Order: sequence, then structure tokens, then C-alpha cells
Amino acid sequence: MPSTAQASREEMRLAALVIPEFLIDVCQRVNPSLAQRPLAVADGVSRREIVVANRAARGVQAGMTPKQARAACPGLVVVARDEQAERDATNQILEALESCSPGVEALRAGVYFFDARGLPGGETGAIGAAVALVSTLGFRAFAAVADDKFTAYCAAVSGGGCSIVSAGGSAAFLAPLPVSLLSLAPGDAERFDMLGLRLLGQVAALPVAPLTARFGERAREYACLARGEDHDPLRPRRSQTVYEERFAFESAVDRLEPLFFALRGCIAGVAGRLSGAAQVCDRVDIVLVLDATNVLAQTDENSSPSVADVRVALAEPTASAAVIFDLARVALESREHIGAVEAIIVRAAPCGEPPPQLELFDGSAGSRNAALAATLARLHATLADHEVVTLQTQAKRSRLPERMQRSVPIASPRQFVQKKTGSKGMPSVQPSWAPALRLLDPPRPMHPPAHNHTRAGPFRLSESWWEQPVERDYYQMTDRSGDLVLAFFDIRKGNWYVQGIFD
Amino acid sequence: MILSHFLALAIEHMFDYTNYPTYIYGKNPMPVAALESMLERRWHGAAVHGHVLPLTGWTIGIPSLDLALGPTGIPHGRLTEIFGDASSGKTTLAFALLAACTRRGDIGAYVDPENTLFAPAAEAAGIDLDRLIVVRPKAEQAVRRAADAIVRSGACAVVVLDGISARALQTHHCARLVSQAERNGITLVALSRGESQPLASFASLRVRMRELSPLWQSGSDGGGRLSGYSIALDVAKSRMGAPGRSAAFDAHIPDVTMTWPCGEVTIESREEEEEEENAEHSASIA
Repeated sequence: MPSTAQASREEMRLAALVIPEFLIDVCQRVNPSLAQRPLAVADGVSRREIVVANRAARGVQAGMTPKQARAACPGLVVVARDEQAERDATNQILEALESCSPGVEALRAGVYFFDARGLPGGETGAIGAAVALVSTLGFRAFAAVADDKFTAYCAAVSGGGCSIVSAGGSAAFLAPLPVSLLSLAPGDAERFDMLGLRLLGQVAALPVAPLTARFGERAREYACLARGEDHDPLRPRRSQTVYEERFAFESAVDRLEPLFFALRGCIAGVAGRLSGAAQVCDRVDIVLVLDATNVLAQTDENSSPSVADVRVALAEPTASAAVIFDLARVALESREHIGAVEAIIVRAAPCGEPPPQLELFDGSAGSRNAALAATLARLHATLADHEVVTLQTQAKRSRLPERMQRSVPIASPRQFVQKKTGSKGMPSVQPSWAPALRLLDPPRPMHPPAHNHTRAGPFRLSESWWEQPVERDYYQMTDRSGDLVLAFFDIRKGNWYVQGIFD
Repeated sequence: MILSHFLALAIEHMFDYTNYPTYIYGKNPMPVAALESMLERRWHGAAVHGHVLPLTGWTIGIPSLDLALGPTGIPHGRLTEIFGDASSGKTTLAFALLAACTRRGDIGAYVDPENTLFAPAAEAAGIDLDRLIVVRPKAEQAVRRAADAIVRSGACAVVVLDGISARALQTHHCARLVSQAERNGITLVALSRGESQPLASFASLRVRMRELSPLWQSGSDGGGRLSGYSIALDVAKSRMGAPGRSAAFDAHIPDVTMTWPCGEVTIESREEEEEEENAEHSASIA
């Protein structure tokens, strides 16, 4: 009589969905013009390496530098890895798969598992629907169903379509597959090759003791996987609780005062439920259901015409109704022509437990940080992210003034916390004078200066010969109106431009 | 005649909230108590409602300019208007103020709707860019909301309103901003052309940038280079001291190779440059 664990294991049926070119597909989703072009994705901070390339990028291999890859494949487009886009894509895929099965797990980027038991349409129908759903999102995927994760993964990878491994047939299915499908430790692939073990069936047939003598304890896992006995259970992602409050007006309102009255009540309800669960949120979504006849409704791109979404990002995770309402009011006041609102919905998803109230011990520094957090939250509620920034110089990248700086959106007030003395922080000596230049970007055309104008130059700058060649003769001069300007003569275009004003 | 003179001074004191312990009565100072008594008799009630805190401010570090601005310098909790034509030295003064602010560890804010703030120049002027919030709204209404958001919480010690952000402020906007700046002790600085009547009215200090004259330095190769400039300014209005003072100073650049365009750029290594180029190339394509 089989044990309970064995019985439950025999009932287990897992589907694996594998997207072999996940990173490439993500890049093409972000920029559709990259389709049909040789494309490679590079990653790394200090040394950038090619991570993956599509089929059109012939000769390009993982581990090459972008320069080596371009030499191997002329016309290759190298794109930096976009982790945010990958996370967004993963969330979309998981949401799509959750419409097929209640339990969905993301093992890593491009590899997903879901419970295939008792689904309508059977196993074949379930994985077919999953592949179709994912393909609508722009991903080419393979899927398979088996008794365990490893077998399902191998079947999806080796099958190249939709495969079904019958119950109890994992070992027979895995036997002719190569050992390289195992996630081997460094050096183990060569050892298996030296021993003549190239198939999973050969590994499965060996006794465990000699294997562990040569490979260590990890050989037990190799042997189990090769025999189709992957005991790793499905770990479905937890469903997230979202607290929601609604208020419907008797008749549509087009003024902010009644809207704020209803909003205050909704936010108080959501904040109370958050507090009751000992949770805080870092974002509140406000949905304004608009009057269908309102033609002036300002809606986001992703929302339907009769709904306006207002996203309020909080400076610090909180469950304070006053703080949330204050920022929500700023966000709504900054919108013009909200239109007639029929109902209002407030949603907040918990993001964790309340932080300890360390500001009680910080004194004035704590209150300053809180004030800064409130300032940034108000600015973010009013302006776009790219309009609230800090500037960074990058003089080592280019000599062209328009490329000597870059703006970085302010993500958190914590980046303004005072650094220790001796780090990059404050200069220890009195700063010297430097010409205060106001940059004109793009440069403003100007009339050619007269020869008797006082000027210093030319200072020749030539850059970017490989893409957009720039050849300029720079001058510091007084223009016709008497202003002290930084001007240049564009040698290629033959025109004069003002790039900055010393002020 | 004398009484009306005192009344004028007293009213000015009441609206300025400055801390001048005595006023000149002939050659002798008049006690504050006597002045309060006189005001109470005149207005049939208490005229002074509380103690007036001493007004403090920022010193720029330029002797002639600090002398012209008086002991307070550029005051905390007040609106200061720096006005003048293009290329008159307004930004130089604002950078010096922001450098003093960030050097002390405070956070500054720069409302820059026209995207003219040049980070290398600001850094060279001594501004710690990691402690400077740059806000770049596009519409006038967004400018006003951004200024209000920055000033009302008191997180930034110095707030500079540049370009259209100064022109976008009407009387009631100025009143609100000045009130909040006073409550939070924020130095509010507007860079303008001097055409805004509300700004002129609400500013406690107005500095007219009169002239900026370049200083040229001859090079050994026969060419020249900008080695600095000479700035002349007037104090057009001051509620903390006597207006009408002038100052002139030279802003010398110690290293002329650091003027723009930069003559000396050191790339740390060729490999790093290649990697940077690759990243930029990829980003531009993406």
C-alpha cells in the first residue's frame, strides 16, 4: 500500500512554461523597432558582457563584450538590460497564467510553473491556453506537463511546443536527455563527460554512493532529478490583499469640495483597515468614475475614457489618513478639468509592517527628514518624475556642454541624508569662483559675430565620430547685445549658435 | 512733524518685524518702550503683540557685497529679488548663496522651468549637487504649485525661483509664499528682469545687477581666455538696512582651463571610456 506522501506525489501534475528568449522578447516589447534586427542584451556594471542574443545575431556569444559582439556581427544592436521592464513583463505573465490556474510560480525570468490538476479542457487544453495567452503578450513560449518540475521543464525545453509526459513516465522520458539539463556545479559537466556519463538515464542507473564519492552530496540531487523524482513542491505566489473603499454620488459632482469630502471618508476607511492589520502602504490608487457624457475628462493612456486614475505615491510607507489625504488632495488639485465624477474608488495595497518610530530619537534631524519626505511627495503628486531631479556631472564622458550633465529622478528622500565627512559630501575648503553658465539646450542660432567683437577662441571640439559627428569651434565672446556668451561655430553646418550665457 | 516721523518709523518697524532696538531721535536713541507706549496711545491698544526675533541671513563671503547688504546679508524667511538683464551676474549670486547653503549641510531647491541650470557650473561654484533639488515644471500653474510644495514644508533652506517661475507669481501667490517662507525660515530668492510688480512689492531685499564685464587673459599662444568677470550691483530696496548702497567685485577664475568649453578632460582609462561609449550607444538606441 503506498504511503500518503507517495500517493499525493502520484497525483501531482505540474505544467512548465518556458520562454527561451525572454530577455530578447522584453527588449522587443519595449522597442518594437528592434524586431527582425540582430539584437543582443548586455549586462554588468564595471564590465558589460553580452547575456543573450537573438538568432539574427550570428556569431555573437554570451560573455563577449559589446565591442567584440559588434565586430562579430556588423549591424548588431546592443541593448542594456532593463530589469524594471523584466519585472513588469513577469507580473503580466503571472497574471495571465493565474487566469489558467490558481497556483502559479515564477522560478526565474522566463520559467514558470502552474498546477495542472483539474483544469477545464484537460492538461492539453490548459497548456495550449497558457501558451496562447503568453503569445498575446509578445512572448514565444513552450509548455509541458509532467509529474514534477524538472521533468516538466525538460519536456518544455526539449519538446519545443506543447508536450505531455504521462503520469509515472518521468524516468523513461528523461533517460535519453543530456546531462547538461541539470543545473550543474562548475566543473561537474567536464567530470561527467570524462566519466562517459552524457545522458540522464546513465546517471539515474548508477548507485548513489559512487556518485557522491566523486561529486559530493550534490550528486544525490542529480540522481533524484535524473530519476524523475524532483521533490520540490509548487510555491505559488501569494495573492495580495488590496483594501478598497467606494463612494457613489447621488448626482455627478464637478467641484473639488464634495469630491474631497467623499475622498476623506474613503481614505479614512482604507487607512483604518491598514492600521487594523498592522500594515502600511506606499501607494494609493484613486479611481474617479466619470460621467459618461463628460468630454473634457482627462484620463491616462491605459484607462478607459470614463475612468480617471490618480496614483498617489507616498514619501514613506504609512497608514496615516491625514498624510494620504493631504497628498491625494495635492494630486487632484494639480489636475485640470477632472470633469463630472459619479463615483470614487480608493485602493491601497499593504507593503509591509509599520517601521519603528526612530524619528522620536532623531530630534530635529528626524523632523527635517519628515519635512523633506513630505516635500518630495508633494512634488511627485504635482509633477512628473522626470521633473523632480538631482543633477549629476559627467565631465569625463564628454566635453560638449549639453552632454556634461544628466538629471536623475529623485526616488527617495533617503538619498539626501547627510553623508559622513570625508566621503563625497561637502567640500572642506572654500569654493573658488567659476563662471556661472546658463545652458541653452538646444543651442540658439545667432548671427555671425562682427570681427571687432571681443572674444576668446576658437576652442575646437570634435566628438562622436562614430555616430553623430560633432565638430565645433567654441568662443567666449560678447554678442551684439553685449551679453557674455559661450558660442560655437558648427563646422559641418556652417552656422553660429549660442550655447550658454555667462550670468 | 516729529511725531509723524516717529509714526512712519514705527509702522515700518511693525511691518518689517526687524530687530532694531532703538530709533534715532535727534542725536539720542529712543527707547523701544517709549515707542510702544506712543503707539498704544496712538492706536488705543497694544501695538506690539510679542517679541520680535532677531533677523538672520546668509553672508556670501564677498566683503564688498556683504557690506552693501548690511549685517543681515540675504535674510532668512524673506523674499529676495535679484534682478537685471541677461548676463548681468544674477546666477553668480544665486550660485554663491546655494553654495553657502549646501556647504552648511542644508538642502537647496532650484525651480528651473527653462532647463538652464548647468550642473558643472553649479558644482564648480561650490554647490553640493547631492543636496540640491532641481524642479523643472513646464506650465505656469505647475510652477506655482511646485514652489508652494517646496516652501510650505520648510525642508529646503534656500529656494531659488528662476525664469518664468518668478514671472508666474501674482500678488496673492507672492503673499502666500512669503507668508510660508517667513513661518519656516526659508530664504526665497527670485531671479527676474525686474519687471514684476508683486515681486518688487513683497521682496524685503532687491538687488539690481548693474553690469557684468568680462576679464580676458592673454595666452602664451597669442590667444585669450575668459579669466573672470567684474560684477557691479546696487541694493535697490532693503527693509533691513538703508537701500541705495552699491558694490562691485571681481570674480576671478583661478584655473582658466576649467572654463567652458573645458580644455582638459581626463579619462580614467581607455577601457572605461569604451564601456561608457557602449552604454551610451545602447541607451541611445534603446
